Amino acid sequence: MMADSSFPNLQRKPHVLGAWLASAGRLLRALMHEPAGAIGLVTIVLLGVTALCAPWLPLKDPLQLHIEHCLEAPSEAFWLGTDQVGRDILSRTIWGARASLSIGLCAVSIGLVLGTGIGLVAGYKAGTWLDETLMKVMEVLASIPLLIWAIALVGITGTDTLHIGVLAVSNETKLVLLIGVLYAPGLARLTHSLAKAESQAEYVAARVLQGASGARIMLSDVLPNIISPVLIQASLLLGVTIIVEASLSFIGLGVQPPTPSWGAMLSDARTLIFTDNWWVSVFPGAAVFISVLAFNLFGDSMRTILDPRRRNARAANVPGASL
Amino acid sequence: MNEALLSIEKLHVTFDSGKTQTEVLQGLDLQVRRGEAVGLVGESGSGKSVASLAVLGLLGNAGRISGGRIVLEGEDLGRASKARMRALRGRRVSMIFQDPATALNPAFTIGVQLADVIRAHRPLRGRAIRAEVHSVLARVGFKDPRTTERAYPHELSGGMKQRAMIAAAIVCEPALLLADEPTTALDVTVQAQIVELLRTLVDEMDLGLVFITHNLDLMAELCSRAVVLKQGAVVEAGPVEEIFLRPSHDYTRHLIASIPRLPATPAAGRHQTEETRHVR
Amino acid sequence: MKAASRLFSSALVLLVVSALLFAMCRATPVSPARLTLGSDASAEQIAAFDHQYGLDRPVAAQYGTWLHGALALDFGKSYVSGNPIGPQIADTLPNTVELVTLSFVFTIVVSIVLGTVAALKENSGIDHLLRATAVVGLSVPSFWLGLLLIRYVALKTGWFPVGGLTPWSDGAATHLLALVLPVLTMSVYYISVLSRLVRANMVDALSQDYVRTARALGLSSSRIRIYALKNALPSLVSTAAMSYGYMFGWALIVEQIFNLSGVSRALLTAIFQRDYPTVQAIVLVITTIFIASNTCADVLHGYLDPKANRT
Repeated sequence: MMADSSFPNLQRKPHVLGAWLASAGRLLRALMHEPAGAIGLVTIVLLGVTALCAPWLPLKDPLQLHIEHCLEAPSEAFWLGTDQVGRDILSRTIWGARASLSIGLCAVSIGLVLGTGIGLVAGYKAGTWLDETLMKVMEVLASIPLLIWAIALVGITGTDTLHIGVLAVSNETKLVLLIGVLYAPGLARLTHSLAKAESQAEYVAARVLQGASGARIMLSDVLPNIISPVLIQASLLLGVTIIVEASLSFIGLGVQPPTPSWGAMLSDARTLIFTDNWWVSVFPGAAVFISVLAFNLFGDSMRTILDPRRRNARAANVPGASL
Repeated sequence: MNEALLSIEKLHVTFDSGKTQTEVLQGLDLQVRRGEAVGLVGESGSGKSVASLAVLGLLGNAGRISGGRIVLEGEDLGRASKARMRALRGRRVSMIFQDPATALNPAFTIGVQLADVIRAHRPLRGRAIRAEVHSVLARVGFKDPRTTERAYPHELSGGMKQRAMIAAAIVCEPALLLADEPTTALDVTVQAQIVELLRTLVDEMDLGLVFITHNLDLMAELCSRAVVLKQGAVVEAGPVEEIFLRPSHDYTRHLIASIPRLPATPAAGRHQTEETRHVR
Repeated sequence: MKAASRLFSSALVLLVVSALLFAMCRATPVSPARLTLGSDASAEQIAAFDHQYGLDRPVAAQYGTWLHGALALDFGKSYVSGNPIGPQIADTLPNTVELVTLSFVFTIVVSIVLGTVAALKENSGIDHLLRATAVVGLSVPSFWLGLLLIRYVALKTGWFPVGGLTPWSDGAATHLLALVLPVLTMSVYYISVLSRLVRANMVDALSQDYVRTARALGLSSSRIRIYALKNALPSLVSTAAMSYGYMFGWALIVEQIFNLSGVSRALLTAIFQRDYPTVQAIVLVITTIFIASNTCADVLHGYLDPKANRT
């Protein structure tokens, strides 16, 4: 029994690239109505582009000391001022973005792949021992407090690059792996409930009857239809990761010097807190704040756009429902 | 009593949504006396629910009365303050809604919700309230009020929930009850029981009842007079027998004709079931 | 009973996690013996050290011994100082617990108030202001906020100390004053999260049919607010209870900024001194608190939501 167009609910929902681009276009247009989210997206793009192009921008060397210019307020020569050893804060802030964003992207990607993969399989096979086992593993991981274990991990293994056989595992890599793995349970739980519900749809049953393999159905049919909320969650996690990385760098357990990082810059600024050198602490802190804010605004707007209830509520005016 | 308990005169209700205004109700006239059940009939979107919400002053921010009057026991409700309306709701005029599953608060027991209604209107305390709660639960047909008052709404069946809803509506002995499609969400057998209950209450409490529905059969069982609405306008009004036997408007005839009837012959019924058996 | 089975499964999870922790703490690049005794220690000295601390036994046996001790709250001795670890934790943990608990209570109260106000005045100016503030609060890193508060509040006004914590015995007022800024720093993020949750749940609850019924029956606005709140509460409570555990992580950072003598000092000192047993013990204690608060969250949710109790 082949699915044909006279049974609309048995048809495969479109998943080709063209359809995705079309939905991306629609989403962008919807974003126009959410000014906050649009600002967030623009900021994120600007941030990413700036961070990516840092080596080619006309910036001063972030590692170069200018002792004769130390602790200078923002000026023509040093737009955001200098720190206590004379390094240019502007260039360090921009280079710091590279560290934060790259760690964020890698960690969230790991979490996304792991979490979505496990959640998808478990949700599709809901009720089986595979489902139970996978979600139990996720439950164990979810019981691990991120920040403390990150501190402990770095504390135990040291901040220097480890050499295991032929692999050189830097401190940042360790953290990315830990954070990524610990992000997996949250994403897995979300994917699991979405996949479980989606797998009950009739078109999935039709695909099974057509003889499609479980993997094909999961990847080509179920996944594209549930991916949006998961991606939104991931974008919000990017913001969280930036704060986590900055916090770890702040106490010296994150990105290691001399690589510039916002957290480390703020840690340096700590000793200057009783002085009037406001630029040393304001700019790196503002950088973290603005980046995270951008991700939050974007993620929030996307959530509003994709929430079916809000779309309907905006149209109707339910009588008797307000104060 | 001969004077009208509720008198709705040329009521117009308008909804504002953004820049557009829709007149949902265009000149409704409706009178109800004590001990009388009046039907308000129409399809979805006819404005029948809006009428009852307007009486209670619950149109929300988007809806407003744009013309006409509502007079309850001689009092012009259009002039009533918010506080006065709140005092009237549940005490002199009550309403029961279509879906009992969502109409009751899932986080509180039936007993607590009933007690809250009593406390809102009468200066009773403690044991007296409990006694009232038991008494009203028994009145609507609960055999064991003590168990029922401790139950949460999700622990009751649809029919029981609706009875509890009715209990809450009548516990302060109102003069007027607005019933907005109280049977639509229920099974057919339960529908009959609820209608029976309402009829008993109308008789025993000398209650004025406005029975809003799109089900003409049920309405005919309960009501002595009826008003038929089509898209906000009254197309027919009068005694129920008149409406059924001598409908003066096409729309009324259409409504009567669309009442589902059992197949004419038993053979036709058997044929239907055999066909259905082959389709997966 | 549902709570009992949940407790049991949490205990199992804790067991597994403790094993993972034990394994992680064995991943030291340099052996503890070499660290404590120095890089020029002889083989015999190292063997003696290992034997003294049971490091030459199979890993599983070591884990068993450690776990057995931990259950009795005996975490062994530090390699570095030779002092028992338990008392060290007992000295510093209460301060952290106090900081977290105060922040938690403050957060809950403020979140419920702000969230309810925002929901009741949905789409008004106040609502938009509160929502904007919440997004900002979600994005501010706590350590930056702490630094700013110290610089521009403590230093400028002189009302609060810029750091350090005097014990209760020296006066409740000074003790609590020192905690004001740290509690504020810890709470901003969670107030933002929870108040948004309260708002969303209340807005949802207020649009439900049962609110319309309550109005139709003439209940007062305050009673209706409680009707809505009780439905909004379960998910708030469970999220909040989870936050309690997460707050311990941020407490470590905040303690460092404000120079408070809590568990973070013990942890970071232990890390600096390569004192692995201490690190292990502290992380175990905090993880246990974390798991306990998550379990509480689940149990409370089941208790508060009558519908969730059907097994």
